[in-house]
Amino acid sequence: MKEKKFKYDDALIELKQILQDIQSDQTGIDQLSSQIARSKELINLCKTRLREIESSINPDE
Amino acid sequence: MGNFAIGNLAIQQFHSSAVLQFSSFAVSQFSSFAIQQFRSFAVQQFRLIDYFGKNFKSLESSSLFELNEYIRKVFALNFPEPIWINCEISQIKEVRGNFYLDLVEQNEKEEVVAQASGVIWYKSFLFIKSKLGELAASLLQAGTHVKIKVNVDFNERYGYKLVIEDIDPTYTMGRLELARQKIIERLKSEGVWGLNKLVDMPTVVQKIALISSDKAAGYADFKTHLEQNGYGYRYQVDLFVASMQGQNTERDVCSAIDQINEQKGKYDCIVIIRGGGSKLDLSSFDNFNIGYKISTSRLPVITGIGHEIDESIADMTAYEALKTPTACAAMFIDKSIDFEAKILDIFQVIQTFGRLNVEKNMAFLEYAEKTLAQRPLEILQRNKNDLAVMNEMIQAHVGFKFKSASDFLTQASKIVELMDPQKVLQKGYAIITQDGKTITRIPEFQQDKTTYIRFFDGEVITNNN
Repeated sequence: MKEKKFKYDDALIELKQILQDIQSDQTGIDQLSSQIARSKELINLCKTRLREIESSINPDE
Repeated sequence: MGNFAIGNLAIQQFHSSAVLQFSSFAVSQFSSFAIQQFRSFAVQQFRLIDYFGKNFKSLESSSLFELNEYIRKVFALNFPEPIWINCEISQIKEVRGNFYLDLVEQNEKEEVVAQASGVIWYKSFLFIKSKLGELAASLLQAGTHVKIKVNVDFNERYGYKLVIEDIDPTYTMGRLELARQKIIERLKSEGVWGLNKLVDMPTVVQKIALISSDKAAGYADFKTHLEQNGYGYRYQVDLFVASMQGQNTERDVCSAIDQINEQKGKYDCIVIIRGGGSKLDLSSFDNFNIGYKISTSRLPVITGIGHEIDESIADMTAYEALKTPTACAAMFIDKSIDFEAKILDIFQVIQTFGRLNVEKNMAFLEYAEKTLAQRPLEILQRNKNDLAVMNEMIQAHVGFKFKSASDFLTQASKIVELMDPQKVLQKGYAIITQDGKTITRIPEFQQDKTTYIRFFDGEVITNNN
């Protein structure tokens, strides 16, 4: 919610793509740094969203 | 009848005279009729004088009292013991513990074919009440068909009267049951029997149209029980006032059902409630039209008419019949509880699956995070290694190239040195040129042209002209 129109599923797809690229050596060294930055951002957003969902699932915890 | 010693013919005549009306108001007509009757048969068949000490032929000169006294004696003689009769109570009123009744018999066209006054003295009523309990009050109502044990009484002043000593409730019950069976058959033949049981009952009932008497204890029971539920459920109860016993019940209940069904979507169901009472009080609900209205109601009908042994037509045609108003209220509360429990169950399943999903996603994120932290380092490391290898290779290659180049250069410089024209000229060679061209062969030499001869130490120009 913090980012405009942040969608978990879209973020996940992007993250998986980055992961796949990095694992299969498709990422060029030039893109590596930006990819890592992007993936960190995505992971943080996703985790935040999950924690929000988690706390809404367990309202009294 | 055969045992009647006297006047039995007269009694038979009374029975067969359809239009005869016996009542305290009609004593005079009855009396004059009786006189005629008695005259005719007395003269022909009986020696009345033996019994009454008076010749009936001289009755014309008798007083009214004498006549009535005579009739009383005829009654007394012919009805030495009480007899059982069947009839319908058309009216009844209580005065100081005594009950005064109008008893009638109707034919199939519902025309009154016989009528008589009846009374239950207080003492008899106490006996009947102790024998039948609450049922007594139910039986002693206008419209009830009863089998009663009566003393056929004639009083000189008050006329003909049936003094009721006992009531047989089984007769009334049997009649009701018979009537009920007929109603059931008729509802079945009209194809509406059981229709209300097929109507959809909402999972949760909150908007209730209540048909009851506002004074009925059952109404208060129902409302209190609903309102005081311990779960905080709210119910909307709209009362449609109707008579719950007696002859207005049919009209009131039917019009209330119509009225409620016309208000589409306003109510979830109809509840018909009455506060207890004996079986007979409830006979108003053994009614064809009520059964028909309930059967064909769009909304499900719940009855809490309040009896324990038998079901009325209303109960049988209803979506569900419960014993008491409180049971109706409890059923609605139970439905709400069931629904809430189901929702909570579903929520728990959602919660569990939601939690699992979050955990799964979290695990993936952790994995991605870890992988993304390690993998680039590996890539960088490998690239570094690659660079190092390439560097080595380049170094090695450069060394080799450099050597071969320097070797070549050494050799080349040697060759160059050897080939230096100055050095060749020093060795005694000379270079001949004509027109700027070096002459290396005889044919190229032209006698008539200026010739330049370059020696080690200078140039000579020859001109053959």
